[in-house]
Amino acid sequence: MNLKRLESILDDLEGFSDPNIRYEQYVTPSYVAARMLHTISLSNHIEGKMIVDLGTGPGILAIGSALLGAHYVVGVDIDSSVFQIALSNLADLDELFVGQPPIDFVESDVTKCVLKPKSFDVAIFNPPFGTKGNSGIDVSFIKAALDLTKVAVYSLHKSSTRSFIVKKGEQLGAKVEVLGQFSYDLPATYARHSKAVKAIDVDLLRFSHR
Amino acid sequence: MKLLTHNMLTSRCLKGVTNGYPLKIVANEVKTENVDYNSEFIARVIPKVDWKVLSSTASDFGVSLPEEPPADIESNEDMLRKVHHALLEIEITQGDLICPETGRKFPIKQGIPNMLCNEDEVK
Repeated sequence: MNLKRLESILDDLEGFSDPNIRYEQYVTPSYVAARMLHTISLSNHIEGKMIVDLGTGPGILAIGSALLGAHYVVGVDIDSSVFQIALSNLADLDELFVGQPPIDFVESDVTKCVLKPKSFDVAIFNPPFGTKGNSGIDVSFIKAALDLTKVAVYSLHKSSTRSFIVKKGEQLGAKVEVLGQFSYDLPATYARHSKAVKAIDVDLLRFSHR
Repeated sequence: MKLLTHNMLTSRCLKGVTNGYPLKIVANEVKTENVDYNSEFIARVIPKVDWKVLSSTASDFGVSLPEEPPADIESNEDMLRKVHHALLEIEITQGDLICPETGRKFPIKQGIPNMLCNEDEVK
């Protein structure tokens, strides 16, 4: 599936119906999600792989991974209200899969270990950035993801925190690379200032197991 | 919830729990689904699963697998299809997962296990 087609499918999916500020819920824009998944796919880290999406929300990255041929995907989220949206998004794409899509969802706190270590090949996620009184949550997600995977972790982080995140990743034993940068609008609820929307720069990082 | 997911889930985050594995399944509603089969992909999953747990769980759902994976499994199409069916096509939609050490129940609703714990339950 090419990038344009993926982006257009992801663009039709539903986002959060009632975003919860506590969990910094906002949808990964479809052009970012599609480019992120496309980049990962070019590294041969989606097709046939076992993938976990931490903080899956409406399931955009989990569903996108399955569309690109992941063998099995688990989407984890702490907020049960997101699963109705994720399931309905999946149901809408029914005809794009042979049989049922190979996706399961698990309701869990990402930072509490309920999955066995090294169960997955790859983790793909857009974590909370830790700007709403939950600082450090992004690093907790990376730590959890490295624990759960054998091959690599792909995630989005604010470019302004790049050197800090890269250092943390290296301290956790991973090789860290910046694969790309996106600019996107964050809803005003998550910005520090009261402008309607705030454009932020976001890095796509890859943490590889050594 | 698929048996592949069950094969990975633990209650090791609970206080006083050492392994929390495998979780016992009480299935109140089970569906069988059709999931795209790929022999190469499923062969790669097999070394990653806990086979003993899979074979004992699968037998509870009417799929009989040997106690050990056959040596020739990668070229054994019938066996690969059986494993694919057990891991990905049996869907537990309602029920409970139960911690083997504390008996704590984790409900499964609409196929989604709720593994959330209260702050005072976790390590």
